[in-house]
Amino acid sequence: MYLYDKFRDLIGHGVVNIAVPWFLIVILLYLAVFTCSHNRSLRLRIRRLKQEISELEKISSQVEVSRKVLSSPDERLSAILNTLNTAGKWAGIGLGEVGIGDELERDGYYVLPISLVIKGNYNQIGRFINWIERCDNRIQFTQIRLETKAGRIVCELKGEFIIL
Amino acid sequence: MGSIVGLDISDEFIKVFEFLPGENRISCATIRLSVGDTASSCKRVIEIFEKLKLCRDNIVVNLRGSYILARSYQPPLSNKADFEDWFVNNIESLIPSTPIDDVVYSYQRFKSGRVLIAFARLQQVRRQLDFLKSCNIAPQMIDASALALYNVFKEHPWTKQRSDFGILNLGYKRSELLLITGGEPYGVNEIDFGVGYYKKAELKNFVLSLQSVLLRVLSYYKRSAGLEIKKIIMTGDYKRVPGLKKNLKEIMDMDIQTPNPFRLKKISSSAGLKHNPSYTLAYGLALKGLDSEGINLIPYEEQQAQKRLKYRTRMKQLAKKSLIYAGISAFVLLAIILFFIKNNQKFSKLIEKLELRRSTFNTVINENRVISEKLSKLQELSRKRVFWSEFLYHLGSNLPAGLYFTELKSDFRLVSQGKEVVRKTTVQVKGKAKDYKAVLNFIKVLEKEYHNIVIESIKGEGECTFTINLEI
Repeated sequence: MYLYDKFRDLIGHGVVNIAVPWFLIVILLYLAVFTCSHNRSLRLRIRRLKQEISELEKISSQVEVSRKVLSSPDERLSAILNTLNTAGKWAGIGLGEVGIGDELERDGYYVLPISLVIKGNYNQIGRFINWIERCDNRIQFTQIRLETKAGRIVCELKGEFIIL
Repeated sequence: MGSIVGLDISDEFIKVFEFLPGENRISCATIRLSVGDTASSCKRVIEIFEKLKLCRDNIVVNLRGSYILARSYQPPLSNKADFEDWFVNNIESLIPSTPIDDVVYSYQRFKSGRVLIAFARLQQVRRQLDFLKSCNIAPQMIDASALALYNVFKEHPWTKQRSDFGILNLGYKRSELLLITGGEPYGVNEIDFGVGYYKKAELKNFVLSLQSVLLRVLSYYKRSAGLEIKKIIMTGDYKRVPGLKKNLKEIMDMDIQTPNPFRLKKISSSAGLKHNPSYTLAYGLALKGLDSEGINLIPYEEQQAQKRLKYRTRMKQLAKKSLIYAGISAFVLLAIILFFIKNNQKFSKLIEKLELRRSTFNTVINENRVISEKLSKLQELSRKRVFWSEFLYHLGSNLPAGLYFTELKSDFRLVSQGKEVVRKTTVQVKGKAKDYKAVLNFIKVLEKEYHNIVIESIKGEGECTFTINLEI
C-alpha cells in the first residue's frame, strides 16, 4: 500500500484511480474473450463429434444389414435353404432334390456347391431363378438343364453359394 | 454545462444572479451586508446560497472601489508576443504610483488592437477573496468594477453601430460609468454617488447632483480622450428614483435609454424574471462566466492553485464515475466469464461422453472395412455371373409359332483371355418345329443376342427336330 500511495502521489490521484480499475477491466475483457473463444472451439468440437457419431451410427446400421447379408458360418445352410424355399413359394413350385457339397476354395474366397431339381412350367422355373438372382446374389447358378418329362419341365440347376 | 452565478458585490449589498444556459432557469437575490460585521454577512450569504441551492463551482464576482482601475490603451505593437514584452516593460508606468508587487493586473485584447488593462490592489483582492472564502465561495473569476455591463449590452444597437456611449450603473452609495467607444469598452469610472442619496422631496436636487457628477466625468474624457458622449444607457437601481430618466434627459439634453437587459440576450419571460435592471451587473458577471474570458483579477498563484484544485476535483469526479462504470463493466464481464467457464465445463463433460461413445464404434469401423471389402468382392462376382432368368425370358418371349423346346442344358469351360481366365458358358437347345422356316426364324432371333451359334442338327421332313449350340 505504501508503494501504491507513493505511486499515486507521483502520477496523480485521478490517473491512478482511473487507470488501475480499467487496467483490471482490460484483463477481465481478455479473460472473457479467451473463455468465449474456448467455448466456441468446444462447441465446434461437439458439433464435429456429433456428426462423426451420427455417421458412425449410420455405418453401424449398414454393418448390421451387411452382417445379415453375409450371414455367419453357422447359418449358411439355413440361409441357402431359406432362400430356395422362399423362391419356390414365390414361384409356386415345390423343391425337388437339393444337394449341398463340401466347401471349396476359389480365388481368395470359398464356395459351397449347390445342386437342385425343381419341377414346374417354363414361367414358374424362370420366376424361381429370377427371385434368387434378385434377392440373394450369394447363390449363383452356373449350369442349367431343362427337360420335358411327362408333360412337365424338370429343371436341374447347379451353382455355388459364395462364402466371404 | 452547469449553472453560472454572478455576484455583484458592493459595500452594502451582494446581488446574486444564477442562470442555467439552455434551460432558462434563473435565480436572483439581494443580500444586505452588515458593514463591519463580516460574520453575519457571511451567514446571510451562506443562507441564501443554501436556500436557492446555488452552484458553488462556477462563480464570477466583481471588485469595486477606488483601488480599481480599468482603462483601454492603444499599444504601439499589435503582435501578441511583442505586446506582452511591451506590457511587462511598461507595466510600472501604466500603474499610477503603486509598486508592481502590490498590484494584481489583467488585460484583454480587442479586435481593434486596443487593450483593456485592469489593475487592483493585491491587498483588496485578498480581502475580498478571504471574505468569499469564509462564505465557502471560491470565485472562478474576479472582474473589475462594472466592466461586465459590456457583456449585457454587447448586442445593443449602439454597440453594434460602434457609437460612443456610456452605461451608467446606479448603485446605492456608489455608481459606475462604463464608457464604450467603437463598440469596445474604453474605461470604467467609479462615481461616489447613488440612489441612497435620494429623498422624495429632493428629486430635482438629486437630478442636478447626478448631472454635475456626470458632466464632470464626461468633460474629463472629452478633454483627455476626445470622447463626445451624447448617449447613455441607464441601469442598476434607477427605478428607486421615479422620474429620473425623464428629468435627467431634460436637463442633460442626452439620449438616455433604459433597455431591458434580459431581452437583449433573449432570456424568455418564462424564466420568471421581469425587467429588473438592479441585477444587470450580476447578470453581466454570469455571462462573463459563460465565456471564461477577459479580465480576471484573481492573483496568478491563486489562479494556478484554483486550476490545480479544479483539475483534482474534476479528476476525482471522473475517477468516481469511472469507478462506477468500471464496477458495472467488471460485474458484467465477471458474469460473462463465469457463464462461459460453467458452460465450458459442461461442454468438456459432454465431449468426454461423446469421445467415449465414439470409441465404441472402433470395432464397427474395422468390421465395416472388412464387410465392405467382402461386399465389393461379391458385387464383382455378381457382375460376372450369368443371369439365367433373363436368358430364359429372352428365349421364351422370342419363340416363333410352331416351335418348342424339348431340352435345354448348359455347360461351361474356363478359357484364358490374355492374362485373365474367363468362364465361357455354352447352352445346348433341343426342340421341335413344324418346319425348317420356324427353326430359321428362331436362329435369326438368337443371332441378335448371342454369338457362336452352331446348328448341330436339323432332322425330319415336315416336322423336324433340331439341336442348336450357342454361347452366352
